[in-house]
Amino acid sequence: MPAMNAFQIYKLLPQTNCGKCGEANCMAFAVQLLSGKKKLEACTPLFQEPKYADKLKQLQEIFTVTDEVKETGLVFHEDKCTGCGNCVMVCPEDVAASPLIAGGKGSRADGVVFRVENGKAKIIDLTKCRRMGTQKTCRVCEMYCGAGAIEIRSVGG
Amino acid sequence: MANFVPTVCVGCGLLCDDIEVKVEGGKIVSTLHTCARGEWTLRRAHSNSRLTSPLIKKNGKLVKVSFEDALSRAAEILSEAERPLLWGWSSASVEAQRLGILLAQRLGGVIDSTSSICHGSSILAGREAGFRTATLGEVKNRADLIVYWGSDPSHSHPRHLSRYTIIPRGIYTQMGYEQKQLVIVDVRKSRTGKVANQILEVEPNKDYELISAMRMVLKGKNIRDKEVAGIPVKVINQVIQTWKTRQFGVIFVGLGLSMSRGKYRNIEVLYKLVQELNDYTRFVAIPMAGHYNMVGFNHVATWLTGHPFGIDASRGNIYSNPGETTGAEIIMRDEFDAMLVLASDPISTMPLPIARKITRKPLVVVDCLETPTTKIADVVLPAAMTGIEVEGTAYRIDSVPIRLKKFLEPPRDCKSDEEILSLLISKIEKLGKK
Repeated sequence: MPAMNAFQIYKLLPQTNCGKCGEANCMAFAVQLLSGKKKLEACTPLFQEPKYADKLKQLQEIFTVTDEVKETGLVFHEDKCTGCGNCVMVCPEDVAASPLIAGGKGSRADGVVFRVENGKAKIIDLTKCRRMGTQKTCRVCEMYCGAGAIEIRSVGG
Repeated sequence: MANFVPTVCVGCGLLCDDIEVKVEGGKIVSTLHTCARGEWTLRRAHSNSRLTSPLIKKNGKLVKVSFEDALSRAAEILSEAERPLLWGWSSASVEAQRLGILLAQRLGGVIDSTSSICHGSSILAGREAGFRTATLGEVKNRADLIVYWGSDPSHSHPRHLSRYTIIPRGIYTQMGYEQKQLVIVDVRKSRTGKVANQILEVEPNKDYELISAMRMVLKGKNIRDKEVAGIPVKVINQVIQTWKTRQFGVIFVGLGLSMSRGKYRNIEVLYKLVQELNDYTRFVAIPMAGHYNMVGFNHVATWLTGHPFGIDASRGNIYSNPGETTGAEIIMRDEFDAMLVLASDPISTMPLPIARKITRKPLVVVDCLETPTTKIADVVLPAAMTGIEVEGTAYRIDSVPIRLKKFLEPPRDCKSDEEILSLLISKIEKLGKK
């Protein structure tokens, strides 16, 4: 999923600023959707009125969490991984876990998101990922994966 | 994870010293922090194509013999030859390389490492222009501009980016990747290009022109053309302005420069650019050697003979003239009458006309794995893997010597390169040549 901004989401919403979702207007709702604080279901007109069916379908494609995608939206393709360790050294949470990782060395420290094992990166503890919280914009691991093995299938960022 | 042992990886020139291996019952069970390349290198120890016994060619077939017989046959072949060529050496320890050079002197042969078809040209360029370099530790702690010129570390040295260049945080680069700038100069958008801040896509074989243009801009001269080597002059101006203002710049020189048209002249002019940039800021260049001890051979050969590679001892004194006494050229002109290959596979790596000429001469191979070269050899001596089954010393790409560790036992008939060579030398001494 490509990175989307709030305005692109706004275009797919009813744009009536009805306020049924509890937000002041549709733009504010789009921002809340992106940060994961509101669910798509909160927008009732979108589901009730048939004229939004096309838009609803597109929005659902964007926001539906598939089986392989966890809450962080991080999908890891092990077959593509070359074990270079870019994700380990670049992840802010891994760097915080061990000063060795900050300096570019491998470490067995606990509480890391990634670790390279047997020539492939492995996800150790996804609950530590910043995207679990409200920092949905962090996608450094995807940016620095030269092999394209890490993909973030989520909006935002 | 109790019984992981720390070791040094011998997968490429980076010699990563932070990897850990778990061994159970004499086998590698799992590894930590290795890249795909290092993983493959370590797991070769249990490969199906592992050579476990000495072989001699009899009636066109390789048959198993005792180590003593194979050694005698190898000594015979080499001492009968007038000008044997000793080739390979880039994947052997410094100790073995030293004995190799002594063996070449004893035999009156030629010794050359694979650096003559790889990064030897960087050394020649360094002799012409002078060499400004730094260790990788310094690069990690200080560099905020990283240039990969004609090299793609994502393939050749997978952990280069994460261990030493753009990603790690150093003493003076606390912000890590946010503070550093990565520039790729290459003929294509390489895989490393995905994470680069700037890509300069140069036309093939036009690096010399681009570097010369950069030197002109640096000296304040005007370029009248709109573009040089496919890169607009505006971009060249902007690049040089940025490079001048960075704290510490480093250019990693790849085979794209050293083996394209111009060869060592490309690197010579690049080193001059690096020197001139030092008028404004600190700038260094490091060649990206591929094999784990390619740099080691150049060092050993230089302190033993005065020449980095392509050393000819057949005239009674030491002589070296790259292009005349280097391996590929000697084979091409049929100026050898026997060949010893150690830790290399010329049949696969050399062009076909050269490979064909190797097949016509008596061939002794010291290797740990079955390769196309061992299949056509007259004598094969099985070696233990340096850095896995035997200890040794190797030089990292920035010329820092690192002690390799041992964590497995070699198969029964496999001896270290060092031991095989010293036995071979004493055998040849006994035969008493010339």
